[in-house]
Amino acid sequence: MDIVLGQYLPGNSVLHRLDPRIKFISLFALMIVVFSAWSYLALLIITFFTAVLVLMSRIRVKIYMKNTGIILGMTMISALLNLFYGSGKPVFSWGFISITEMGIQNSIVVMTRIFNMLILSTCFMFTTSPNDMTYGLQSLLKPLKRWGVNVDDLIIMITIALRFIPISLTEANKIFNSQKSRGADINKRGIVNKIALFIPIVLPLFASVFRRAYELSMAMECRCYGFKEERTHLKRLETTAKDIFALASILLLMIGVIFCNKINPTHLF
Amino acid sequence: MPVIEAENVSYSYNGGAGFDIFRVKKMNFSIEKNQIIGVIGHTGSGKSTLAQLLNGLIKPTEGKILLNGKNLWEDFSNIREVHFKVGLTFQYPEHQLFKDTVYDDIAFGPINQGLSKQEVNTRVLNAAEFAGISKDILQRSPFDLSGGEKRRTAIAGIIAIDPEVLILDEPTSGLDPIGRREILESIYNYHNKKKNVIIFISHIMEDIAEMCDKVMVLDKGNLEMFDTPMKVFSNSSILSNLGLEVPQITRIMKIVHQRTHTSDETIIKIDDAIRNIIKILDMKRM
Ligand SMILES: Nc1ncnc2c1ncn2[C@@H]1O[C@H](COP(=O)(O)OP(=O)(O)O)[C@@H](O)[C@H]1O
Ligand SMILES: [Mg+2]
Repeated sequence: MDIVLGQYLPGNSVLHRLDPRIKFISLFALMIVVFSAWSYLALLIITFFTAVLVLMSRIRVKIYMKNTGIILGMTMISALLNLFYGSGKPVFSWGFISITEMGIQNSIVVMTRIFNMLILSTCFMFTTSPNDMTYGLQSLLKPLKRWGVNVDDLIIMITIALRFIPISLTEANKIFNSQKSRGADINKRGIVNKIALFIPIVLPLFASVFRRAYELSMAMECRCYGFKEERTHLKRLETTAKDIFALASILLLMIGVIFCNKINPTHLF
Repeated sequence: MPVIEAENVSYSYNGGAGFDIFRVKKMNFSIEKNQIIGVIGHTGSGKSTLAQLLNGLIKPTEGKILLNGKNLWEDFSNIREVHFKVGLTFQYPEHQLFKDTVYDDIAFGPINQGLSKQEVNTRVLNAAEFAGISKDILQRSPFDLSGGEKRRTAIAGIIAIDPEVLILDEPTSGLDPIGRREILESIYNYHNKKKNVIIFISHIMEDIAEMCDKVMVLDKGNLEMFDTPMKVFSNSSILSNLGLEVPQITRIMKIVHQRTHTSDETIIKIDDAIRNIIKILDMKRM
């Protein structure tokens, strides 16, 4: 079973070292920018920006393609269907199929947006460790405390859940193998047989997850978890010059996109 | 004819990011019948991987494994038969228990083999006896048992399959000394009755020295040594390079021999050591 979870690829690029809070905000801002761009020029600039980020992440383009390939392909196909749903003057028609100028523009815009969005979020996933993600989220969600939301507990729950996933997968794999070597027939068809196969794997898995959870909660209590209100982190989040620079460049991009939308509008939206 | 032969067996785990990590490299060995084979090696040296290769759970990326002269993977669809012929208990096998009663859990394997109810019954009772499970716990839930009893239940579940080769992956790890001794005795008795091949993976050199006819030493996926325990444990320097130790009694006897200027043979078993010390004492008295 080769399941890669939390697609983090350790590295030391600038993007890896950015403050995760800034990365969250940036990603959010970039999404807005991507979806508000409707001129070709703006889309071109955005695509260029994305390409620069990909290069800056120091992760090979091949790996990006491998990870986004399937989703990208599917969305591209649906975007292509946009070609046939445009009103206005047909550019090309053959039988009942007609392609209008608006259809073409439509599908180019949709495709570029989806492409950029996918690559940008993949870039974020690749360069941000699960730990950074949760700390960043925790820090950003702090204001919610005022309304009685216990952010710290919420975050620790997410962190533990994330930790449990790969461990449980390994465990599931091991249990699966040991039942297989006791002769559980994995090739039998039919719903009854499938359920019969399900029990020997799921039951021990649950037992083991509960055992682990119990042991972990004991260990946390032994370390006085929940005893003091304010918990500190081993790694303090710090906003430095490069983070400011990142925000500034996104702001610049935003202004650029708004400007382009004005001077070079496509006629549709 | 050897029971198990490995010819140039390699296995690599697919390492996520597109490159392979070799875990077992070009292994060659053959195991004769009626032997207990010990497997030692540092954590991560590939012991469990080797066990799974022999059991047919994973397929060698190169080379082949022969069971009674026949390639394990000759007939793809028949690999389930291989699981029955080469029984394997995993590390911490008690985690795989799932039935309502100990009896039913031990019966899981034999039922999968398609045996009749009566045959299953005799298999279960025999296996329980071999594994040292008393009759009164057969109807209890496996989840209510002590650690040692759970472990024995899991081992009985494999013995009940009646395999030609029994592989035990660290069967005593995490048990208290009494639990450990009981399991080792069960395994030894089982072997003496059945005369089958047992492959015994362990971290504890003393157990290996007491039980095994031959020892495999693994390091980073390589088979470094495959010889009698006596020969293997006489190479203490090689072993310590691989992060392994010789049994305590071997170290003690080496010092005794040096100080008394007696023999320089390697002693690996407690009984031999006792006999040897008595001999030395008698000699001194004369
Ligand atoms: N399912 C797996 N996928 C990838 N790597 C694995 C897997 N199982 C084990 N390994 C790796 O193979 C190496 C050998 O593991 P293993 O055979 O379990 O060693 P041992 O039992 O001697 O401690 C380890 O470094 C481990 O990280
Ligand atoms: Mg192991």
